[in-house]
Amino acid sequence: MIVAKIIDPQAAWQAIWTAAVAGVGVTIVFSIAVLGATRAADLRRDDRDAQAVVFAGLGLLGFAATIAAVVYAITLITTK
Amino acid sequence: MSADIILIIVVGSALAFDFTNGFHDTANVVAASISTRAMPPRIAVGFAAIFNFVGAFLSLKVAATVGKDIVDSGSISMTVVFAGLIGAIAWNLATWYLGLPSSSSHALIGGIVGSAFAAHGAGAVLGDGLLGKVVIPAVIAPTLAFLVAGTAIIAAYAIVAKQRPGPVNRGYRLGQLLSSGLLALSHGTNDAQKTMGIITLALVAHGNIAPDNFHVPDWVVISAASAIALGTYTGGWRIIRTMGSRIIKMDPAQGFASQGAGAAVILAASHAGYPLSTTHVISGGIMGAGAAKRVSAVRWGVAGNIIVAWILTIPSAAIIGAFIYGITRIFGASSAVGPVVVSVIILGGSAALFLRRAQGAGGLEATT
Repeated sequence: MIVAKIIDPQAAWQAIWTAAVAGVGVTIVFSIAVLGATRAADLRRDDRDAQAVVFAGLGLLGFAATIAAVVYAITLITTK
Repeated sequence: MSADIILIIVVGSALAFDFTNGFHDTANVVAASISTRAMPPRIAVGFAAIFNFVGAFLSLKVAATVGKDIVDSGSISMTVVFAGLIGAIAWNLATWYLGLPSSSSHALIGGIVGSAFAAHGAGAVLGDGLLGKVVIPAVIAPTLAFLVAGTAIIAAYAIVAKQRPGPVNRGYRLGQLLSSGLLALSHGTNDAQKTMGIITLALVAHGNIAPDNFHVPDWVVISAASAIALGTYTGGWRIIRTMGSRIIKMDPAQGFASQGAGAAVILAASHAGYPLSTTHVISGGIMGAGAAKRVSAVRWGVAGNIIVAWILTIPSAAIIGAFIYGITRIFGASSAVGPVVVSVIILGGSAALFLRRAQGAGGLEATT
């Protein structure tokens, strides 16, 4: 009760979950990018081009999601 | 005339504090990148300086909190602001000299609270604001960064499991360009604003800005951004060593996860107007990324020393701030003599510390 008076619980909770989702989320999507790039390189070396393309696509998707998350975070802090 | 001289000294001291803040906190931003060899030290520091500068322009919510919600801006004099700043600078220099990554932000807030308390008693300190916007976030933020970095690294290891370590490490090193840039940006956003808040508080005390029309002038934003960027570029090699290798030995994935977690927590807090300590947050992130891999990977003794420095920062800076206020009062409440004398003493002390450190700098740089 006292804590609720001195801290805005809604703002605090929003900051906590936003940080948690963004921090874990960015690492996950970037890890997917790393996985895609690594597997694509390995598969290309083994002449499995079709599968390499799939993993390269996955890597690009992960990288694009990482960039999108960063841009969204900066946009959010500058516009609100 | 005397008030104008004090204002000039206060603005100069605030920018000097901002410089030491960047100087002191460089480690927070670049330690992971240097430790994992994602970037050479000088490049990492230059990179951080640029993003710190840019970050300072992103938001002004933290500046408003520092200027309005910690102490009663209507009853604060420029001498109080000056004494608080000197308290923070003295504590920053002492912890920098000892190689402890304590919080510049909490030093600043502690200094201002101590000098305001000495000048006007408990009524000048806004207890709810101090507790709700500084003390409680100070506990939550590093814990959150610890948990976020720990969860993130577990997820990352699960995703890249069974892949060849060479390409995976190269991938995360590349990613650290992004995560360290984002961390530097968030550092500039949160830390430069504290100085903006303090200078604006001095402008309110001087009568340039009405207390009920609190706003940060453009020249304050630009000068604070420049000072923190310059301080960051100059760097704090001794603390880089503590942050980059003494807490844990990081792999690039841990570096990415800890920086990503730190940036996320700081940006979210800046958005809500909490003046966080970037030191606390990134230390929490580094420890979380280390502990999730192997609890014994974290050098808990060093981590314990850092926690002790955290706990001591606000009260120590407050005591120094109160003491400095007492010294300046000896020369008269509105006289410029006190701030001038204290400035000369602190400049002399700083020069002596820098000289002593410079004698051992070569050896330290070689080990980073």
